[in-house]
Amino acid sequence: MAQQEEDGQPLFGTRRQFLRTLGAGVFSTGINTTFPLASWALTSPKYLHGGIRDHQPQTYFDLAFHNTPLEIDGRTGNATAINGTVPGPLIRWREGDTVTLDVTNNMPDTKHASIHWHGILVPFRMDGVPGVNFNGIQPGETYRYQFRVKQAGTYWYHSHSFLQEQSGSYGPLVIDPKDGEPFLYDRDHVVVLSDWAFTNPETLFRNINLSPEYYIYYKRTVFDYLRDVRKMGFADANAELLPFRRMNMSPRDLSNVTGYIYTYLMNGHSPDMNWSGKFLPGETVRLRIINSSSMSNFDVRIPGLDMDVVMVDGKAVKPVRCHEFRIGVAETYDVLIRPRDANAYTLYAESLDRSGYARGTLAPESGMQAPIPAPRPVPDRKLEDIGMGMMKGKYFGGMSDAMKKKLHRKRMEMQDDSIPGPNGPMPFLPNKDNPNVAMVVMNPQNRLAEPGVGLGHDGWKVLTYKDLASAEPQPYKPTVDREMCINITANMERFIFSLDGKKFTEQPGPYLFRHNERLRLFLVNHTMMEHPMHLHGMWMQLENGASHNEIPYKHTILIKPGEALSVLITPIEKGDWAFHCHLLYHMEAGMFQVVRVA
Amino acid sequence: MKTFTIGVPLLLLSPLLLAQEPPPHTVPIQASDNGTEPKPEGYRSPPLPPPPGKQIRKYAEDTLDRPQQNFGVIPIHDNHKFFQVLGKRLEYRRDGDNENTLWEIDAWYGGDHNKLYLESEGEREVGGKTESARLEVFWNHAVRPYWDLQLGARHDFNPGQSRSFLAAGFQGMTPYGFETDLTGYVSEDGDGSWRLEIERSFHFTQRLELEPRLETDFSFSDIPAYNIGDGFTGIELGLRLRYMITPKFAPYIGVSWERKFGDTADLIEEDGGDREMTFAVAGVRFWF
Repeated sequence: MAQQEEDGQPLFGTRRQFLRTLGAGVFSTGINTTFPLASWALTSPKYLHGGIRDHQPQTYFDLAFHNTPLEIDGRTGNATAINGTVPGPLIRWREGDTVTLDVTNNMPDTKHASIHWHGILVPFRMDGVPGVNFNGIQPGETYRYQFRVKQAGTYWYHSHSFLQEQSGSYGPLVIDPKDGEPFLYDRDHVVVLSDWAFTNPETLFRNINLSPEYYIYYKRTVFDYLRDVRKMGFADANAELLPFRRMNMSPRDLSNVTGYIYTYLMNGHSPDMNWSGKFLPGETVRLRIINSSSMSNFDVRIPGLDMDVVMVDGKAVKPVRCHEFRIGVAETYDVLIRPRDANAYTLYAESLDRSGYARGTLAPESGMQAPIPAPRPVPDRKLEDIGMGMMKGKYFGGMSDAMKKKLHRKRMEMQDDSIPGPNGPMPFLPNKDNPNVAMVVMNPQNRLAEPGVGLGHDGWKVLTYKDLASAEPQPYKPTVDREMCINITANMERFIFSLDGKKFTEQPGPYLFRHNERLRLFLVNHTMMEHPMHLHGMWMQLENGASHNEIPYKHTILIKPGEALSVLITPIEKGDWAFHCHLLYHMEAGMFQVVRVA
Repeated sequence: MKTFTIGVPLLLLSPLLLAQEPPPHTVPIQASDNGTEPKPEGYRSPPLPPPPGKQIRKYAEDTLDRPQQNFGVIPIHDNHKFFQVLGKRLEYRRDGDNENTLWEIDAWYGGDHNKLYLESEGEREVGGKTESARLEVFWNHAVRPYWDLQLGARHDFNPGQSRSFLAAGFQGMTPYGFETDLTGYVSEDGDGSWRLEIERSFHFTQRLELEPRLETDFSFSDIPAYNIGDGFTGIELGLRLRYMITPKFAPYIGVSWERKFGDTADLIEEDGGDREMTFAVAGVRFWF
């Protein structure tokens, strides 16, 4: 591939030959059953994608799950594709319309299929989580979703049935506002990032259950240790590493499934297939970037271009200029770019653990491409990064009683009796016998201003949650009726992921949210990993220090290790809703709860 | 009148008196955070106004005796049962003319907290008879984040020396990553013993790892019939260099040094055995 970059030749392959034989009509039909890429995503070196302007909003969609062979880089895998393509068709609605979607499960070997409209406010029965909102769509059956669209922006949809999301059951969802877009642009592209594995997802799930490091090929080695000793000195190297080892953790617990097994896709294209989108110099281009991965958080940048982040999770924010942002699984970011020169630009999405990347090209003409940035080294987490700074240099013994008392007192001082519930995350007092909890962070930190592990050292501006200020109206009062704290816990060695130390099936019952109350929900991450926590059916407004009228709306929040944060929630729709980590295998391993709005 | 003169100042002072009331020493925990507070029988979702202070109701119901499921479907699969066959050591060993093969294979079936766990270990002369073989069957129960309690039985199939034991122990990982298996045994004759195994692997590259291993046995009684004296009966120190071709298949080479102690060593020497042996080993670690 490096060769091809040098001499600037376009990438020729079977894809192009295939396209040549394909009728031109395939580009104009919304859905095609012969090619594993949807028309909104379809490109080739000879064909630049012009944007999604031609895909007009509709009020009826007919969607069907099929077992579909999917060819990527010459290998064929089995996809549970929606309408025969991965990603699925672009669904475009208009705010205020009542939409109807008939979803059919044509996969005879499944228990059920389902579609969840991620981030969309819908009535309880329309949310599409089997076992929460309905009983799933049995093979051969059709389920009719029908609801009024009450919002606008960039979203996505995906299956919520077992591991179907991993095998390609996802697609983009765009809603046009009824009163015009909140910012001006000339062209918009949808950019769906995802991770594809040729391995059967159930095998993958078993492998990481039985051997959590199965796909990790960036383990720390003896030589890494020796290098640290040479660089930092014996004492400092040990002070940083040994507390991790004492906890049986690794500073490189970055993800469970890596680029070793995944092919990272952009609009269904592997890096070699190089999805290419068109712009004309001087245009303002809106990129609707959606992370539809099962397990991969990405760091997105376009070398040579500034990005103005204008929308996050479908809700407008005040434009923030940045050069890179981290997109957690299930988040969406809309950015505006203004390329002035007739150059090609690489749209580069590097996985958080640096084990691979998805890439595409933005260019004024077909056949152009820009260099692909070199991958950055695998970052090591520091003790401070996981809220364990006090453990530095402690090789034996636990936290002293005096230290615990001090922390407890500090926490107590933050209490405010006027609001029911714990004001500030209560010290999580773990049951030491609980095999579900491998780590308890005694001193969780506010990390909203931090870009996250492996970011912020490159000399360019990286977006943080602290930078987000909502540009949407704030319909809710600033006072809080009730507070609640949920602890995010895990034991990766056993591959148990839990909330408050309990797997989903061990929870005593659903969490209780009250209808139309103003709830402050604290989330504390007691694990070594980032977790994209997603709440169905209602917005979370992230208390990131912005004024009350500007706190940003989120449907998915990537919470860092050792982080405590709070969100404000107004549950507007009665019923049961899912709340879970959007890393697919974490969810399936127990990091899932039902929230009852009553 | 007198009541009035006392009553009015008291009434006026009352906010002050109330304000000076010391704060409660114990902070109430969130309602049903751990589900331990006493509940009436058949307690389910009473219609409550939010109680005062920090007490909130976190759970809508808290006496579910089965996983939450709506419409008869469980939304996720966190109680998935798995099985694993784990060949820890399957090796050929040689010390001079003494050649044998050794196996140590575990197999289990179960979920996150409870497993049926089988351990099998034995030695066999090359082209000859089985020198020793043991099979252990355990119920593994997770008791700590990194530790399983093992309760079960062991049977030795040694030729002419078959014995059965009750067995109990702990299997897990110590701080700093030492994989540990400590098991105590009581034989059918009432003799007590224990065995400790410790392993720790060090990665040199992503696929090449070095694994030191220690195994030691202790007996509480003299059992000459089985060539066992009381006290520490033997120690085995191993060093294996392994190359992980796939996570499921990793061949290795290494050395293993074995030494018998005390009466055990004497008894074995009387029997024509060796007190001390150093094996060169080659084998494979695998799982499926």
